[in-house]
Amino acid sequence: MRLLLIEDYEPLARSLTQGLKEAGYGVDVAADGETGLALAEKAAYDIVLLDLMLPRVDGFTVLERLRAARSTVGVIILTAREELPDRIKGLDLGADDYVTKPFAFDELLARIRSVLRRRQGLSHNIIEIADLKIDTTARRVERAGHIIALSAREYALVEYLASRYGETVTRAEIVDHVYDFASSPSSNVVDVYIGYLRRKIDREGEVKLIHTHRGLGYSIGGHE
Amino acid sequence: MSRRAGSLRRALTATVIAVVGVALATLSASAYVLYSRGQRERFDERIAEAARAAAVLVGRDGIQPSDLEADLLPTLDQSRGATSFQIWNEDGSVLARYPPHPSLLLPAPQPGPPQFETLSQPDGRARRLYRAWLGLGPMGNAASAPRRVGVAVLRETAMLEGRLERLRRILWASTIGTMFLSGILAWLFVHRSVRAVARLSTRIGAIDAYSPGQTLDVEGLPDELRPPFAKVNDLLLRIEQVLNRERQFSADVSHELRTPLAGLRTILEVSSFRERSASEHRATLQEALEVVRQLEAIVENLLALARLGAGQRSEEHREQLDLGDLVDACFRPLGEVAQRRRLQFDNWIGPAMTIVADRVKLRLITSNLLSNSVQYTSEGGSISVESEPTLGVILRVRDSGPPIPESALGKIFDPFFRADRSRAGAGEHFGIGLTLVRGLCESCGYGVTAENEPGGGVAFTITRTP
Repeated sequence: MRLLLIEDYEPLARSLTQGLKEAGYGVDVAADGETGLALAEKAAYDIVLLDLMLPRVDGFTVLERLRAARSTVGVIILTAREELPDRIKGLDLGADDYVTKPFAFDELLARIRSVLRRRQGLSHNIIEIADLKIDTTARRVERAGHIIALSAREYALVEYLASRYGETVTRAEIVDHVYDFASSPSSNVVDVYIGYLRRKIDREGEVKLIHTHRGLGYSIGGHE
Repeated sequence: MSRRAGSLRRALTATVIAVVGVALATLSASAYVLYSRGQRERFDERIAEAARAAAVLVGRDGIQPSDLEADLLPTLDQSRGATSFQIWNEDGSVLARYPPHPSLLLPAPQPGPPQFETLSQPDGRARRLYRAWLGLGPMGNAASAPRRVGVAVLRETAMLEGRLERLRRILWASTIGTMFLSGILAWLFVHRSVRAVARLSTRIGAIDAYSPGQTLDVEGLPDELRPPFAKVNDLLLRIEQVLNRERQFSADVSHELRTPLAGLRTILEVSSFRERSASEHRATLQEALEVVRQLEAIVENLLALARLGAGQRSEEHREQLDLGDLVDACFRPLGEVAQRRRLQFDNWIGPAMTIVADRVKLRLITSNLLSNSVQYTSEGGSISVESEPTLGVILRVRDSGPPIPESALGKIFDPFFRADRSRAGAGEHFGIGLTLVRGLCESCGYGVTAENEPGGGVAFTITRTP
């Protein structure tokens, strides 16, 4: 999953980026509203973490413009402004959640998962595809009861594929949602990671879950 | 010692009663004196009339004492026994007397004009005595020479005294009654006014100390009491405004602390998110320390501002300072951030430039101005500091940051003022920095201005005079 963090307070932006990347998200950072809007146009983010008091273009305006451009990206407002009118305004402008600073990092992660889940139409954090079980809270993948050890990138990849269960996902989409600009890979890196995943998930003697659609992309579950 | 005013109600009521009492008593007394004098004069006149009538009767020849009595009595009084009289011949022999055998003998009149006297006799009944020598006049027997008789009439004054006594009672009763009534009226009247005050005092007692800004209803109050309560309303409103300002300030302060706190918390939480190497921990601690320094700066500014605001005449420690060194020292803590953002910093102050000033205050002023510039100057921009003592300019900090809207130039020194999203906002982690600069300048007798420079950028100037 790919996040856009629009936050101008450097220490927070830096540590949040590190934490979110370690949690398996692709993260891009903008230090002002203008840059934030430009980035949001450029890539397909799953969630925007939005500060309100920003240089150049403030958070409310960013949110307004995003929604005016028919963007359905999940937006979590992350702000020091805790007054009720601000919360109401933020949610009414189309934010999915409103978190006040200072916040617990674990709670922010849970809220991100919650917004992602809602956007995927799920009601809990476990995605099951045949005998494959993905626990998005614990970030744990099991197949037929056996835990499969995955790297952060591999996990992000399988989670993204699973979130679009049954659909064919293009390499470009994978790059958009799993990576960030700082680590944008060439598309054959995607193939390499798909290869790693296959080796770990679809082992010999098991039903193949990860499918390659030649010239199109990949899917998990569904048909070849 | 201050004198207590005591009870308004009691004082006013007592005053009204006293005034009414004195006025009515004086009036009644005068009326009584006039009336009783008139009555007594009439009484005396009637005795004298009776005496003259007696003399006239006596003048008739051959009248018998018993006839005299029968003729005279009705003119004197109906109450038998209340009146007695005696008539003497010129030679002093008694001509007639009534009652025939009186319990007391009336004294013969003295020569000279008629005399009235009041006799207080052993039986305790007051009587009025009239004595006179009266000429009989040329009536009756014309041939006989005019002759004189002595007449003494004694009459009880009980009826007169009774009447006067009744009058006195009525006057007393009406005076006391009126005093009582006016006292009650005064009490009620004052009570009404005082009750309005009491109601207001209950309202005042019920005012929430945290939001006193409600107005007291002064309707129903006497005119004299309106101004003080209008002033109370005024005061309440001003207190409310001050409270609101303080509340806003507290909110802004907590606000100001939230962002760095959020940074600190995230740094620490992310650090403990998983196992880290020693070098990673060192980097985390460094970052955390940077945030802690920012928090310290905020708290230091708040404290300095609170001291200024409390009007504490913080002692001035004026000393000779090297201005260039002071500016460099103030910039040092910002150096790392400036470097990261590739800001160019130039200190144009000559090496020998000295100034006599309060070190702590001038350091705070300079630090805040530099920190403000570092914050708002875009990446790759420049900041410079100069001093022009000949022009009265102690310090001028120039930066290449975005201009401040003209309308906001005067307000950026207000606490937590957010000029424009472009120049202020969450990036403004020293929302009171400029407020403090202004306060410190005022306390030092300096002036401070902010201007947009013609060629772009902003200049903050500290001048020697306000």
